Amino acid sequence: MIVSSIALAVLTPFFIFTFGSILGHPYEEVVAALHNPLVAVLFGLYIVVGLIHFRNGFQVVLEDYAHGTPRRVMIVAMICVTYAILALGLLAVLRLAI
Amino acid sequence: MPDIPRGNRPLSPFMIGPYYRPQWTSVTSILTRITGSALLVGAALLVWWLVAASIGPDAFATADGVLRSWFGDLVLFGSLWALWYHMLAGIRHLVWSTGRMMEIHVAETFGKVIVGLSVVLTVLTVLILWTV
Repeated sequence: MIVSSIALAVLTPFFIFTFGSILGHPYEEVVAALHNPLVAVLFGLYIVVGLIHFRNGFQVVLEDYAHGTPRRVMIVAMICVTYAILALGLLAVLRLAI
Repeated sequence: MPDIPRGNRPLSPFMIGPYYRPQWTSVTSILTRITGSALLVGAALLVWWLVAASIGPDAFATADGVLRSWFGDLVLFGSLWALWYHMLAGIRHLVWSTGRMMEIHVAETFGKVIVGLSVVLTVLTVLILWTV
């Protein structure tokens, strides 16, 4: 959590202003912006590190508030959902980049 | 069952307010969890938007329409504040990990600072992105 939090503390301001300046533009401009390798790497990194950070953090939350079988089921389900979002996001960024 | 004298004392949830003062330290700690957990909604919205953009103009128009609707604005504005707040709270944890600013009154002030700063950063971000 410490390693991913340091990475995210650096990436978050860059991501907020990059995404914020792309959102609101027409389709062609959005695709062109995400074709830029720097933007693609920023988005890819942010999705991967952000969702791994979420997976670890939310597991701690579930461990604090749920117990026994519900805890195990919820942790596994949460990891599946998180990794699915991560994979979809990464695939989309790669398709737009190349 | 014997009648236990319980007196006229107030019980659990009614303690908050007149009898129990919430501290900046505990409230900001709980907010860190809430913002971190809630950010999954913003992440899902972002990924949907990216997937739609990678599929084509029609799919993009649908996702982009939702992100730029009042509902999308609400989620994105909330996510923007949640991101700034959660980031500041994380930096606070990194500072605490070094053993600094652990004294109660300093930690209380630290809590007020991250709440205030997160609001300032959110307003500044909206103003900057609006004008650029």
